[in-house]
Amino acid sequence: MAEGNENTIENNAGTEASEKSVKGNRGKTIRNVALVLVLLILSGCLLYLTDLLLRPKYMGEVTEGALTAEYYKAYGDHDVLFVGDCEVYENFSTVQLWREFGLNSFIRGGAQQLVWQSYYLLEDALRYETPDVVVFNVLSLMYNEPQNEAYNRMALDGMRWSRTKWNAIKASMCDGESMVEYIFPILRYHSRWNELTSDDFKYWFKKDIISFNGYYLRTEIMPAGEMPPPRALGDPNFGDKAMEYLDKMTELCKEKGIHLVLIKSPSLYPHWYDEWDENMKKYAEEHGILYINMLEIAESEIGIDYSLDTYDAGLHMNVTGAEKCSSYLGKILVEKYGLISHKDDAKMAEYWAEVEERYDAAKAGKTE
Amino acid sequence: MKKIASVVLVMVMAAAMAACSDSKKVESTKSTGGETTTTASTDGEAGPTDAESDQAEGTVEVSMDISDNFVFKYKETEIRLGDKPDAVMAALGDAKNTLDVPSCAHDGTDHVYTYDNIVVTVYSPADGSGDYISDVRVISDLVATPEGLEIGMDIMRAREIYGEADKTTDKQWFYKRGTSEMIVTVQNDKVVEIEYMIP
Repeated sequence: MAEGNENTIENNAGTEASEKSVKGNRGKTIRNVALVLVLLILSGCLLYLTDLLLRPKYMGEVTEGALTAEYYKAYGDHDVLFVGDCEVYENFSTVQLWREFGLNSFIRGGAQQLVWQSYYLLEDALRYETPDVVVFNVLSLMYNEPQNEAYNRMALDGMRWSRTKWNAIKASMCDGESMVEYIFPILRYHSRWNELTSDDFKYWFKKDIISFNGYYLRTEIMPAGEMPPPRALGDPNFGDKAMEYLDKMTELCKEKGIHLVLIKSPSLYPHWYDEWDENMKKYAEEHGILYINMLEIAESEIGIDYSLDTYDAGLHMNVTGAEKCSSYLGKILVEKYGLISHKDDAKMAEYWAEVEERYDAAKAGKTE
Repeated sequence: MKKIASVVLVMVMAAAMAACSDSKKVESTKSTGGETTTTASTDGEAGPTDAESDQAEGTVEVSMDISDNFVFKYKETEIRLGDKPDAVMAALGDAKNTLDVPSCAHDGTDHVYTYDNIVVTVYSPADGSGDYISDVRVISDLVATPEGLEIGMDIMRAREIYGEADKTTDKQWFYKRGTSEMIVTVQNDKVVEIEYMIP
């Protein structure tokens, strides 16, 4: 009996020890897993912070790379959304559209923005709003292939992640680029560690706004001179890929009930060929959309003075030229599409009052 | 526990530094009024140089070999594509007009010089790595290429002089030499333009 009791006690002790051992092992496993998770999270945070630090900030000399992300900070739904290259973001003043017509507009432009990038930036914007009018500058149809990683990065890094961004990157990547470097920018920018400046730390987490609802303001004056003779045009037609994305843009706008307006802004260079102009007129007629060649009416109807209204010898407008272009285009958009003024909207007016204050300071040369 | 922590940390650092082992080739680009030419270079560098220079550790500077490039001759001045411009521009003298075309993203500037019969473009990279002659365009039938091709000739003369083109489209024939290219533009079977460039 005593032996039996001893055995029982021993068994119980053994069982307890086993249970303790199992519990102990389980506890140890849980601790290890928790430790690994904590370490992974901390490492992830550290990598993310490093990634943010090493990315180009576009706050110094090359600020155009900041334009894409600024869209997400703008207020309200837009009456007019522009997409396109520097011929939109430097040639149209959103402040003028507000002041003269009470229109809330945004220019989702970018340096050498390619037509497929314009399409995806538009598609991205339509995740948040449905503008009444989309204006697209057609010069970029001359590019039928991905051009340059630097421009791709400037156009795409600022986009919020979505399937649209994924598709935009796929359409844009040049040889040597890879999707994983867009998903994890630290893989691309890690070598900037020895090029970091004080601006990288200053703008580590927050950037200044460099545009006026996407309008990139220039005040200098450099009169236009004689342009070089244009190259002989090899093929008068735009490439298949370029036209594919113009078609997609046209269809997307039609599907959403948006008025698409094609423009050729009044920049004198690169040369806009008659054959391209004819192609655009034909395309617009076939699709029932408006096409305006602002180049051919720049002086006669828009009032552009190429000795005063351009900051780089006719390649782009300065602020006075941009205001004239906006005044001209705004009148057409209001009359044709019945766009209404939002100046009675107190919050909108308050937003634009701040934008105007910055704008007027920049015009007067009093930027910080 | 310590071993697990060590392994996890090593894995994370290895993943983060995965791309550091190779120097990353970056294409720097200049725009020439819509035409884009590209020069291969290493991280952050742009444009060709004549020799290797000190670089960040792990990177190697790529020089553009211009020895086999097309050479155009204008009024006794030899213009080799990719070459430094100073001597050539001095020999050519004042242009009829000049246009500076900065890239939209501050990636250098094209200086376009128009003369009576040719247009010469000199590219200045943004990083100051050295200007070079990036484009020469024949715009008149008063000058011929060194091999004898002229604007206005039948396109088949190009084949007689230069052989089969490396690439052709309906409107253009492309010939490559070294790191340069000659593009002959055709309309109605006639040569309408001859252009040399660094593609």
